[in-house]
Amino acid sequence: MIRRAVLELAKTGIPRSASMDDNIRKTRDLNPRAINLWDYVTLIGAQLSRPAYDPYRETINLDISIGIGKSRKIVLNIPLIIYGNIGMDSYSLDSLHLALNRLAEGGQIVGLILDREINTKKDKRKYPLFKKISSISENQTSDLLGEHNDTCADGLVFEYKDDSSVDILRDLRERFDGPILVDVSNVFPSFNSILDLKTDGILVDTEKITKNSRYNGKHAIKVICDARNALNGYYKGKEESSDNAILVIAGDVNSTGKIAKAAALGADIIGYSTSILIANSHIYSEKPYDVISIAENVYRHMIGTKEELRGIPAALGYSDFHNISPSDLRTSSIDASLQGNIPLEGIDKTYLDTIGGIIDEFISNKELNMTCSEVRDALKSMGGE
Amino acid sequence: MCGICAVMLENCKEHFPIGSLLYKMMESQQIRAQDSTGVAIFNKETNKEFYKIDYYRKINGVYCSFTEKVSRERLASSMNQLNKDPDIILASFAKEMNLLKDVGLVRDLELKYKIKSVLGTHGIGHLRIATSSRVNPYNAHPFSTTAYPDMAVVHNGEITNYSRLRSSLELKGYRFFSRCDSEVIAVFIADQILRHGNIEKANYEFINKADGPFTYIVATPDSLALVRDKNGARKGIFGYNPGNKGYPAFWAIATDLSALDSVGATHYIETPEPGKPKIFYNQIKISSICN
Amino acid sequence: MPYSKDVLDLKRHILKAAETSRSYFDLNKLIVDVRKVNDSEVPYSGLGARSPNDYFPSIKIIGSEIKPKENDVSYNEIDTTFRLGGRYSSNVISTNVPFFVSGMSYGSLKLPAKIALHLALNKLAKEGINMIMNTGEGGALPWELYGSEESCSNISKKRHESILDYAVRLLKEHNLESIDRDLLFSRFYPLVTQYASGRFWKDPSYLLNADAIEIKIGQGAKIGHGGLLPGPKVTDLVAENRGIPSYKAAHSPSRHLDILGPEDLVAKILELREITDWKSPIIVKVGCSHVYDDIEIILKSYADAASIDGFVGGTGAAPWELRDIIGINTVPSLIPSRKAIEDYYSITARDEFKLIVHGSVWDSERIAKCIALGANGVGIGTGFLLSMGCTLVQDCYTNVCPAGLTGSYEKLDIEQSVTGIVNYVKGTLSELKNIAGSLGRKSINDLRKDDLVATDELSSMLCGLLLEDGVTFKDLVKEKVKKAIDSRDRRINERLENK
Repeated sequence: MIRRAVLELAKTGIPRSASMDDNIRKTRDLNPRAINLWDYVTLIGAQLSRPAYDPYRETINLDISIGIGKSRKIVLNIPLIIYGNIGMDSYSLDSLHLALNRLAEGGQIVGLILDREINTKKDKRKYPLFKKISSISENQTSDLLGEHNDTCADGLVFEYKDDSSVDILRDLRERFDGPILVDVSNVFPSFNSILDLKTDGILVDTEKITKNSRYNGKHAIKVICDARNALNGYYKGKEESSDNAILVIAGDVNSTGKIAKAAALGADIIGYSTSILIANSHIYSEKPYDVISIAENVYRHMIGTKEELRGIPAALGYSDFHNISPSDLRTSSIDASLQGNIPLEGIDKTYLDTIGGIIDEFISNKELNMTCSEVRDALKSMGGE
Repeated sequence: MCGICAVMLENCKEHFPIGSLLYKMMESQQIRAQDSTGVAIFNKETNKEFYKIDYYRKINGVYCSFTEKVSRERLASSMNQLNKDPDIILASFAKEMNLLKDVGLVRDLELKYKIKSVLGTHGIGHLRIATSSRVNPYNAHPFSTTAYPDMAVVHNGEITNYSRLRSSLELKGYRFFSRCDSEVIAVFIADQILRHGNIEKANYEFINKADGPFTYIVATPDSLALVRDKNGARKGIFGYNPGNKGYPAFWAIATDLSALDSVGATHYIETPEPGKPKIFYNQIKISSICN
Repeated sequence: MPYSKDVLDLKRHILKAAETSRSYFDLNKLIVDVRKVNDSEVPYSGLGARSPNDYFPSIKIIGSEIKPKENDVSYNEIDTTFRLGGRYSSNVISTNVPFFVSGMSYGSLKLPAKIALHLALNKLAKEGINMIMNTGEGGALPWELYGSEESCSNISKKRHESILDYAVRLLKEHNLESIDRDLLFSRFYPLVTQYASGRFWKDPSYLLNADAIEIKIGQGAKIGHGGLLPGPKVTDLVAENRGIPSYKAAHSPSRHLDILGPEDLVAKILELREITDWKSPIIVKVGCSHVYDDIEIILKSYADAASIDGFVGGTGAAPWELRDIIGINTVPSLIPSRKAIEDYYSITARDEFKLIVHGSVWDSERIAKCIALGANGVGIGTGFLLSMGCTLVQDCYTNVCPAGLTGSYEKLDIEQSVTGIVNYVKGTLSELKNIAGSLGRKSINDLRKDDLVATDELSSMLCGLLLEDGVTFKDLVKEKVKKAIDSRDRRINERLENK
């Protein structure tokens, strides 16, 4: 459409009869669900009022440490843990293992979440493995605590189902000295009691959560925003320490752009599924089961991703990826502003703050007569809650 | 932000119009930054009886400046009241420090406050061109904090993770009065001093926690510290003037060499390593420790 | 992009794996992942990001037409002047075209495309339409700097010879030796040279022979990231012009190494003023992010104009994801920019400071909307590429281009491109005059916000525009609030009744 508009002019030089924006307006009725709300959210970069860093020439830090208090610490060099509710065959798994080992050797440690053992007889595992469990038997516990073999996990991901999970979690906490991440997708967004048990991190799967009744029709943006608010609320008033539980976000966050936006909304680490897809794609390739070459693919993809991830904080003016904050986000969608409390671009205020400001004006000009609770309710209903 | 400068007499038993040296340095850089100026000059011989609190209070939508003298006994309750009052913006909390700042040029500051004749042992100065908060007297540097008296900070650069640092300090109960990122340096250092009293450690902590390109000078009655971020993205240099018949020897700090030239501080010119604070101690304090 | 079979196969396989997994995957950017798998490098892309909402279609110019109505008199006399300079510079560039060619460097554009632009602008200038061109950050071509006898008179014979030698080599390399040298070695249009962080020039004439200088802090397509020319595009001749090694990727620093903050910008501009004897207007260009603060700084830094580039602005090469996620749209940037300028004038006397806007503006209605919202002038990049035959393939970072603009230069028909550019400019200028005329204005600069109306709530809110039925955004809010209160009252009553 754009091309046609200019080409017409370029051929003849005669003024057209309609502008291309009129045509765009006519075809504007796109199915809103076809466009991902992430696309309406951007980050604001460093120019004059704040200078940019140079990722090619300066050090940009991506490291993050998992583990609070006395837990054994795990350090990731890239804030990603490979995660997915996707089946993997042994070839995919082997290639992931090879790739992650190679990355770890090169000082680019990425974690892996798995619900089964990994065969490390050939070469020892150099990256952190988080074993995924929801209930445990006696045998499993001692396996996990792995005094007798080196297949034990470095960390755990415990899937919290309901109140009955409390005791299991408490038990795990007492017996396991590594970091425990708790998948709270089933009880989201209430997880204070889980934090009370000194969990090292909360895992939130936005895909799972947006399928349940409370968040149905909502976007991952809302889930991440609520997760971060809940965590911050829990730590408010408590003595500040760098030892707060971390937030792991998984779900619709499988590209670099979304990783950065999720980090701005409050994610500390991303549960990343694309590497699994790449590993799984071997079945359709001409050389399936070629573990070495699939591992190469996963490795190369992660190297490229890491370089992309380094470039983003630098372009925003930070030398540390984990300093990206909600104040760096802007949006061109009222819906995104409501769901993620994101300021609208240009006016730099959220939709609700803008409306709130106007209501205050009306009240002080006596154009509207409302009580505080009426204002709150009005805002709530306009916020689509 | 823009131009920072500082002066410290080598022999702090003397007192000298530090203000005139700061004035010279600031005037030499004036063309680059004309929004606002400010100085903070330390003089142990100023009153020992009470604390002086300068602040702005909003009256009918306009901020007017006030000064209060508070005795040691009443200090805690006054501070408490001040911190809770949303219509107040702090300008200075001091006993031995004279902090003067306003919008406009350094010569406007001289006309209003006669800074050239202010005596002291050491002081800091600042010229501002606003980057991200508005131009008004309370966004001018130096920044002081209700957390700790006689502490002043001048800053050149940006603290890009300012909102994160500010929220964690606010959670601890500290009050912020402006939206300027420079204020967070003062509050952070004050918090550190309250914890362990070591200015060097306090600055190292800030260097580790803060992100962005910055150089700042933090002044207390006993010290002056010049700090550059770990990447050394912004300038900061110091030099020495051995003194003469008319004036004593002193160290001077500035953003630019031309400012050091303007006061003849052209010996031993050096720039601190990025991420390593350079601290000048008030000699009186050191000698009193030795005694 | 002529992706290799392996790459396309990989894409297919990963797509299948995604389809058979029970998980949700957004596959719009799958090709980015595939490219990373292929070579472990950060994938680049060309041209601009696609914004799902770039506001222009949601804003209408009320009662305007881009073609004159039959009975209306021709609007040829409508003023379309744009003046650059005069705030601190002694020279003023006065042009009758309020839009210009944005910076597209030699390197990202191949030589024939640059020549086509040069010849087209010369042709237009001879017809009295003197449009400004920006060199882009890759240095200037010999005929751009030395397009007049006067410009050659200040240099030594030896220097002159080496310039001509380079020009000859340029033409020879691209099989353009038959071009009329006199026609080529003349410049009748105003030239803005771009002072970017890479400092890709060696000749002081780059600054001295320019009609204006644009300090590029950043551009919309890669805010916070420096200029980029991938290795294969840094040919020997491009490298020679820029003073860099050939076939190595040219990554300009993300920031000027001597401009870290506002006081450095002041020092830099004063330095340039000294060099140019306070004659040349100086523009400062930023990508749209913290727009209000950036414009405020530029206002205080002795510049003559500020240039803002929306994140949808195009480029020859940018890291794909970075291009798509950093920055804000052009239209919502205009409002705080204009506000920064008006706030400045509330405490200082009004002067000749100008606001230029870039980013996804390529037709007269968009230009008119920008001017009505507060811009003084508009930069167009992609529009000119389209007029030369661009097909929006977005492979500008490679040496392959179906239109022969950013690659495959042998495909470009210079004459046809010149005609296309000339027609595009004349046609757009006519349309602009028609828009202003149909609104009863004598000048395009008289277009105001009142001439615009928003067709949705968001545009109304961000731009401060009325909605189509004459309703303001505040009225809309009042209505919504009243409805919310009414429905709450109804719910309370229903609950009471049920009890």
